[in-house]
This record gives sequence, C-alpha cells and structure tokens, in this order.
Amino acid sequence: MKPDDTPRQHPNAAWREVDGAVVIISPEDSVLHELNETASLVWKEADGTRTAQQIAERLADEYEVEEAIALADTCEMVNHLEQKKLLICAKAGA
Amino acid sequence: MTQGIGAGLPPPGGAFCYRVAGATLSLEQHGARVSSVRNEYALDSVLRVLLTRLLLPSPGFLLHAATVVQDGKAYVFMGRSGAGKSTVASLSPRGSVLTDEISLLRRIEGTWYAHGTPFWGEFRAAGQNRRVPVESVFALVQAGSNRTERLPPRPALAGLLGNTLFFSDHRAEREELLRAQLSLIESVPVQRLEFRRDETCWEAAA
Repeated sequence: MKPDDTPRQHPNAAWREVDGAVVIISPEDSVLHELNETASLVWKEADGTRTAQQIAERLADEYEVEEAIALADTCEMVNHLEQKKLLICAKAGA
Repeated sequence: MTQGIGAGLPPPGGAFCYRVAGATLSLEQHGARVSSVRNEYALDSVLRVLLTRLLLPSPGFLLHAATVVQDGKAYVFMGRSGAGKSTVASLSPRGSVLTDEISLLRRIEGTWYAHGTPFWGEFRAAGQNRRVPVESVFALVQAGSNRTERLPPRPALAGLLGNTLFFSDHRAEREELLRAQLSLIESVPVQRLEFRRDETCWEAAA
C-alpha cells in the first residue's frame, strides 16, 4: 500500500473496544481478532476519510515516535488487516 | 463460531432461509417454518439454528458446553469435541447434569441463566425444562492437576466466541452477540479450568 491510500473498516466487521484494545469479528470467517494498542488506534482512525499518512501522523503524535517509523508501522498494520479482510483500502487516484 | 452451512443472507430483521441435508428452515418477521424434515439429525440442526436466531435479542446464545447444577447454581464447562464436556458431566453427581453438549445461556432481568436444552452428546438424556442462575463459566483444559484461573475480558470473549453456535453473516447480529457475551463476562466469572479426569476436578470448579 501507499501513504496516500485510504483504509476503511470492512462494513460487515463487528467490533468493540475491550480493556483499551479493539476486538473484531471478521466478516470472512467469524473469527475473533484481538488488536494491540497501536493497531487499535489505526483501526479506529480507518474510517475511510483519512489516508495512511494522516493516520501515521496521528500515531506519531500519540506515541511520540518519528513519522517515518509511524508510517512504516501503519502501512504494515493496514496491510495485515487488509489481508485478514478486516480493512478495505481505497488506492490513491483510483 | 459455527457457521451455518447453506445459511441464507437476509437483511437484518428480514427473511432467513437455512437448508441442511434433510430440512429447511424459513424464518420471517412473524414466524418460522420448518419443512422437509427427513430425519432427527436434520431437525436437531434446524432447531439449533432457530434457537440462535431467537435468543440473540434476549440476549442469549448457544454454547458448546456442558452445564452441571450444584446447590442451585449452574456451572458451565465449554469446549469443542474432545475437550472433556462429557467427562466432566460423567464425573458429576447423578441428576445434576443439565446438558453435556450444548448449553443455552440467556439473560433475564439482569441475571444470566443456563437453560435445559434438547441437545445432548454422549449422555443421550431427555432435556430438562428448567433454568438455573449461572455461577461460573469454565474453559476446559485437560491436565495432570486441577487449577482455575480467571480470564481477563479479551481471552474470556475469545473463549466464548470460539465455542458459540452462530449462523448469521450480518454485522448487526455479530454486534448483538458481542454485546451479549460482554454482558455475561461482566456479571459471571469466566475461568480457565485445568482438570484431571477424576472426581477431584470438582474441588477446583465449585
């Protein structure tokens, strides 16, 4: 994925925040996925209006890390959640 | 969660059709129709699907679990095939087993109850039409000694969901199930139970 891509939650994914972290029932196989704290933040920000770059900036602010590191982490998490079919990614310019 | 083979994809609150070899369940807003039932196994499957749909708003759900009643309290032992549900049931006093296979859990006026069901495993007993307040839910792990450990909410939820019968592809119903199970976790301890295959397992559970 690219920094200008825009991730959004799968419309059929049910989720809740439990003890500060997000749990999701996947639409694909109805399995429970538990996210860690940073992935939970990425998930909540992925509302289809923010690019990966904007989400990474939010991550960098929250955890006081360099933006380049936050962007790499965000892209990795988005890729992972997209592979699990929990996120859908709109490609930049598409 | 158990997925419905051949489950239809209705809009939430709309018509629902479930086909299993030997039976068809049609669920509409004002009733359910079961047809073409060819054998008891097909009827059993259809009843499980129907119950999961009817229970959800209560809230309630069906769980792969044995339930044993002691001193007016229900102890629910969840686990998939081979986890030890029937073993725990067989190690319990005669007449105390509400089910050794599928437990029906439902919240009524703020209290979670285990209900008798017609679904049995190895015991093959008749169901009991009664309900008992749930004291504790255990995730079964066979081991060399007996030990319990209360699970934090997320592992507890993972344990419950992994043993829940559920037959919907709709987000709204999945969210309803999440709410129901989090409600149970808030009011009833969910514990990991390592147990020996002898009657001493009750020393850890009760």
